[in-house]
Amino acid sequence: MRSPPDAAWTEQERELLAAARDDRMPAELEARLREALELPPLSGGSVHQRNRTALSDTANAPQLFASKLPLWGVLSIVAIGALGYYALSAVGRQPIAARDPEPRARYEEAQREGTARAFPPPTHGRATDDVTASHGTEAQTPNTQDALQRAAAVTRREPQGDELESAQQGASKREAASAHNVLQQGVASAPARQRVDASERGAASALQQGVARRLPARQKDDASERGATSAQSALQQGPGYAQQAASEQGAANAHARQRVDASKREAASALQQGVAHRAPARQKDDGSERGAASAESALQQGVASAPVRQLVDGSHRSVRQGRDASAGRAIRQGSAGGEQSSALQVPPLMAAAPGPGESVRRPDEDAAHSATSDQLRMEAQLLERARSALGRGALSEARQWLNRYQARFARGALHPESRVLAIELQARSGARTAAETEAAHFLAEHPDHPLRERVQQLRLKAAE
Amino acid sequence: MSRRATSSTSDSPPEARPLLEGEEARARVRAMFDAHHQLVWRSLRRYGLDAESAADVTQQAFVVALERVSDIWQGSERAFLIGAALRIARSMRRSSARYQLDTQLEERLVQAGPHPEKRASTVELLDRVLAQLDDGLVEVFVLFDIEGMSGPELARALGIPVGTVASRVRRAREAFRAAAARLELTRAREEGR
Repeated sequence: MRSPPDAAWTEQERELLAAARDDRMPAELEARLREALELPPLSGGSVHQRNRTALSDTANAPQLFASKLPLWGVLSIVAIGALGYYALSAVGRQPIAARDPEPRARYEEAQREGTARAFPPPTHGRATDDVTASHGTEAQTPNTQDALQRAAAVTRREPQGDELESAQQGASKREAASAHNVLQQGVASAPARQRVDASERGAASALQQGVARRLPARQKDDASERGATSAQSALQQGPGYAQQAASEQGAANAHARQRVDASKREAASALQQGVAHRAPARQKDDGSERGAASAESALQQGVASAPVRQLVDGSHRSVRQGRDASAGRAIRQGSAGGEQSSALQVPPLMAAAPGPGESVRRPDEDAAHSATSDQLRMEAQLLERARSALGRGALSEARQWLNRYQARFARGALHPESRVLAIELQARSGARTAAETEAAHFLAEHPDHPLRERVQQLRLKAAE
Repeated sequence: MSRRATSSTSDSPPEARPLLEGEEARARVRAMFDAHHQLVWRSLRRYGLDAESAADVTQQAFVVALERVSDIWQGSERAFLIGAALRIARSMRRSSARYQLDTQLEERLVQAGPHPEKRASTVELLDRVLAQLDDGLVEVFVLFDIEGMSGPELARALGIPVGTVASRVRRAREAFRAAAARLELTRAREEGR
């Protein structure tokens, strides 16, 4: 395609074309246009309100923030008030036993006399004050900090004979029997029940009663020193923690030695971080929040130590699948098992603790939530580019944007939307069979998705 | 006549285009404005918009460029701007009474008298000729024969195949010659009176 030679144009035509090329915007208009498009923002020369809005949106962010200062102030006050209320209510939730000065006074007196045990004496046969204060809400009250420090100091001590004896004869004795019974009654063949049992109350209740947090660590050391090799001895030495570890890890057919080793590693790691009492609770929350079925699968793969990360990953997959049959079965079995093992008395606070299906919003999730907003924006940006390219018919470009999205946000919040775009891309690229198949999968997995109708249309179109 | 300057076109994948934000994006749009704002405005004028409306649409085209600067491939700035400007002009012409065609051209030519300023009158004569062409033909004629855009670049700007561009250019030239000949004949008759 070439332009004809100049000779093809008559003199008049050449004159017209030359005049058109020399045409210039009037100086006044050009000045207004430059002023309107001055970057940064428009200064009144705009002709259309849309232009002013578009430019001011990109350039006036600081001014926008400054103009909302009163709003930020009000929000800050509300946030501080909510935080104060939460802290006060956390203190108010402590049982009377925890605020009763008498056991504390007796314990401090015993400490001065050098006869204090490694853990404070149970008050009213229940949890000690510090353990109760550090209930799974993870509120960092002064009592909790103090308890942490004392717990760390205690657990670093060498175990003493009288401590072990008292522990075995004390609150842990009943748990030893119940845990032993639970395990002997088929825990080995029902890992899901163990896991859900832990989610509901097993491990946490042991923690609440002040046994699992101190006693297991010492007994674990003691057990390792003695070379304990049987499950019975492990349970006798640390029933609460052993049950917790066995339940959390779901190690149905794990050897007792493996359980002790796992407990040892986990306890050592938690102690190093100074959060010995918090780690099990968090693991419990993770498990209960996100579905315990994943823990079972992760542990069946031989992850004896059951690191929290694997628990979370596995649980995430389970949540995404949503209606995983094994998860539902595990929960049902776990509930039944929990009823059977009701010998473990659940403290009032634990009774109010969230169950496996309930959602708990932890403080660290707030930070994660704000971080994910940026991720969501990036996801939307990539998908918008893909959609735009698709709209223009630039299929290869759309494919590359979608590939980039998949590479960066394989589990993104907008993953279903990316799948719809991929289906449309396949349909328009001629891969109708693949588009139809993918559409069928999408409809099966997302029966209530807002884009369902769109996918159905694409499926019908691909089937034509 | 050898082919006039053509802008280099790139079919590089989108990975080659980094996401531009902030001052970097504004700097690129500013450079695009300096290089192409006259062309955009001029093309809109030939398309039939009056000077004010053409300036408005030009401004909007650059606002669109600022919003989507990361989507503009290197070497395709002119095609992007022209495409955006023509789309805006078409929608404005359909939907808003504010953007009127330069329908007063005949009156202004009469009011200019027998000896108007030469260049201005020539441009207005050109507009009279182009006013007799279909919109699709005017677009390709102005951009190809006046502004010197290449066939592929024009195809990308207008969103049509290159073959369609070639056929439209051919038909636009025929229509332009016919209209120019009629105009010349008319002027000769008027001068002969």
